[in-house]
Amino acid sequence: MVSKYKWSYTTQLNFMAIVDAILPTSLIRCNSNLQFQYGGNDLSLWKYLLISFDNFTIPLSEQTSQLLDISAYYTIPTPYTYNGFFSTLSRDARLKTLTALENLQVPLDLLPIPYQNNPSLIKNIVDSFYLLTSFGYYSEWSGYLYTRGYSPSYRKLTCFPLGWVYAGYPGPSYGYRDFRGFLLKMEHLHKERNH
Amino acid sequence: MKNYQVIIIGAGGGGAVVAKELGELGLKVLLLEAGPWYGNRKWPFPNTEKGAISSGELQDLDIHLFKQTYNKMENEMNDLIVGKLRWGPANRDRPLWNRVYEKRGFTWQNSGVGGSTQHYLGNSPRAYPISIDNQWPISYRDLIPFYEKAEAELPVEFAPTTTKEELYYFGAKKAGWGLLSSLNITSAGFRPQPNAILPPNSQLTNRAYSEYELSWMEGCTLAGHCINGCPHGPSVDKIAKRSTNVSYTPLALATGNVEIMPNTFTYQIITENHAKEGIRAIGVKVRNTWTGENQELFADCIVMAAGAIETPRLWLNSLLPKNEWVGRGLTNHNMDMVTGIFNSIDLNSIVGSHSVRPNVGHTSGARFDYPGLGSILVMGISPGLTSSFSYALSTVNASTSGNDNYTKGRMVGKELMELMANYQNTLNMLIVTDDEVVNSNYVSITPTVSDEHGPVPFINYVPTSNSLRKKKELTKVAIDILRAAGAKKVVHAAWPDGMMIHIMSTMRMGYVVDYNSEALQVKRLFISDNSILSNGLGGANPTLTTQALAIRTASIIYRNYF
Ligand SMILES: Cc1cc2nc3c(=O)[nH]c(=O)nc-3n(C[C@H](O)[C@H](O)[C@H](O)COP(=O)(O)OP(=O)(O)OC[C@H]3O[C@@H](n4cnc5c(N)ncnc54)[C@H](O)[C@@H]3O)c2cc1C
Repeated sequence: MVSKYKWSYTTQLNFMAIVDAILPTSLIRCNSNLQFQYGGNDLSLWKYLLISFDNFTIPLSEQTSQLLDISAYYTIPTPYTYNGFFSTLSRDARLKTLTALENLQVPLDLLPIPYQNNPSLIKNIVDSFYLLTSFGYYSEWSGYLYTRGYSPSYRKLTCFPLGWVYAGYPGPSYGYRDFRGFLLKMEHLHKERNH
Repeated sequence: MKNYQVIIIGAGGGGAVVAKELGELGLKVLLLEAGPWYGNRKWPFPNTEKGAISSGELQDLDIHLFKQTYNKMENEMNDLIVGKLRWGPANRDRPLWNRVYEKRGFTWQNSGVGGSTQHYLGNSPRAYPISIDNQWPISYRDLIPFYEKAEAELPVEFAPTTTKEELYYFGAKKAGWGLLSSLNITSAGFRPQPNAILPPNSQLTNRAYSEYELSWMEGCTLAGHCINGCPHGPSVDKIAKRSTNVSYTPLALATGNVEIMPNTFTYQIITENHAKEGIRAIGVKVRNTWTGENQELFADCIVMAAGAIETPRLWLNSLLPKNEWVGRGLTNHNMDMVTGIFNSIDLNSIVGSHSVRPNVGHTSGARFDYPGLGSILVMGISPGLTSSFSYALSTVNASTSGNDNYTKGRMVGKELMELMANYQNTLNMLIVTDDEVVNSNYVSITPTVSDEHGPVPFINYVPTSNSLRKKKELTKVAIDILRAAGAKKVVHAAWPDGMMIHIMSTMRMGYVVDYNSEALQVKRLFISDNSILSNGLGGANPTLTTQALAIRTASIIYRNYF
């Protein structure tokens, strides 16, 4: 089984830049200790985004990469833009670009099709960046390792996903014994049920 | 050529119930379903091979296959685009079925036998009486016997208390609210969820049984992933969470009168102009989603149960008579999420545990009811869904306003990671608003965008100012309860208004269907899904009411036509 996906180099860079804007490698405060935490790209999440974008009703990864470059050009002062421009920006500038896009502060008529003059699609695509990045990071996706690019029916969980470690989630379970009784039982409402 | 007396379109929350009821009455029923059938021997590889055409035997259900498919992984099950539970054909290499949605948010539905109940939470409250009486053509009292039958058959039982429910009850009491010991809700307060989930196994706390053994026995194991599909139980018909693929579907098969055809998309209702009855439904045109083959099927009565988006689409694509309410009046409970984060030391003194344990117990085991405003679902969900729905799904970037003492909006970076590092100490409250019906919110079709089944649904939803006000008030109730429970941090996500999870009232009773759930303008055409709800039930989860009506509709079909 080989991955069926092929993306241009700059598209890959731009999607890495999205993931890095939302979940960068960080030092986080956890129980008053500072702790190192890998970012989304360390888990190849940019691929998850690209695969997802290409599985929409029409594949959207390349157009979305252009959308990012053009939006960056209108948000961040620069003499010209080029493929992959978005990925060269600082994290702040990338987040600022996403916010400008979400608030439709870019010339909608100059955007690539199908985004051109399509505000609802633009907003939903910005939402997808945030949703897919966080869902990919904290779900089991990263644990699919070398099967990540396979057709979904052939993916296999091959290791304990790092996102689960960071969230303190043990993974799906067969059951828990944390049973603390019932506050109400249907049978106690029996009278009411028979009017 | 007529081999069936009734054809039902859609094997979800409503359709499977009608099938079982009519089968029990002795009618020959064909149940058509667009998506796959998981856990049936005739489809051993439901997502990669086309398998058989139909199945009507209880013995075809296979618990081993079912558990293989329902593997509880949130990405595998619930990824919106390629998950096993998604709105698309069985073959996951193929794209989703398209909808044109001009608003921010998305529609969350499942295809497949069981429909969207496959990943529902099983929350099965009745509607609020004040939202039925004088609002519907039918009274609350009329509904009660059908509620009781559905509650007994599913069955519905109040959720057991685990750590997160105990914490919530503590907070709700402290905030001054009382327990509602009732199924008929007329005032505000808290209570455990009436859930279509089997009570916990009586041996659950008996260490002589391993958790694995318990997962093969009858009863809920409090495993915590209702939302990602429940596979726990000794056989398909005894799975703990009562999605219709494990409750009404096996009961339907047991009658020997019901044949179910998955992977079959209905794209047209066939009608004729009858001398006595006028326009009446006589059949359907369907397409196999694996082979693309088309077929026409005929019956004495047709029931549309394709859900509140596809049912109006099917009506419109079939060019059925014009009615200004077809597709109109869409409600979605205008949802939002509020999340509390607690610290371990406080928790220990309140609930005797160092964490909230959001992944333990029913996904939603407790609720707040507020007739006139809506409801609040107390939840704990798996971490990927938590990060998405608590912190990522928002229309604004995060900001904290001094007085409010809570953060509103989307989190990223270090802040998101720190919040998620506290996953075990989070409690979610889903705001479910009493959403007002207006004609300007609708499902229609776009002649310019078609898929293999014809013009695709076009959805428009803008909340009324009343709905927005109620959402705001409910959000405040949720924040107050979390604070009272001792939350150290509260995050209000600020979801887009257009999140479609409870999708209702697009073919309203009294406007598109009559008191009997039969189309006003097409004889022998009945509707039995969330679309016929005359309104959003005041903010109660919709499925139980749809199921109660499905039972009622089946008896009417039998009485009037057979
Ligand atoms: C995450 C989540 C959690 C939820 N939790 C709850 C809860 O706890 N309690 C509650 O009451 N509600 C809950 N809901 C809502 C619940 O899923 C719906 O209320 C319920 O499933 C609606 O039933 P229905 O029959 O209208 O539609 P569905 O259950 O969606 O069934 C429609 C069926 O028709 C099929 N279909 C559609 N078009 C066609 C066609 N043209 N031809 C053939 N077949 C077709 C579909 O594939 C589907 O199987 C939840 C929803 C979500 C997304």
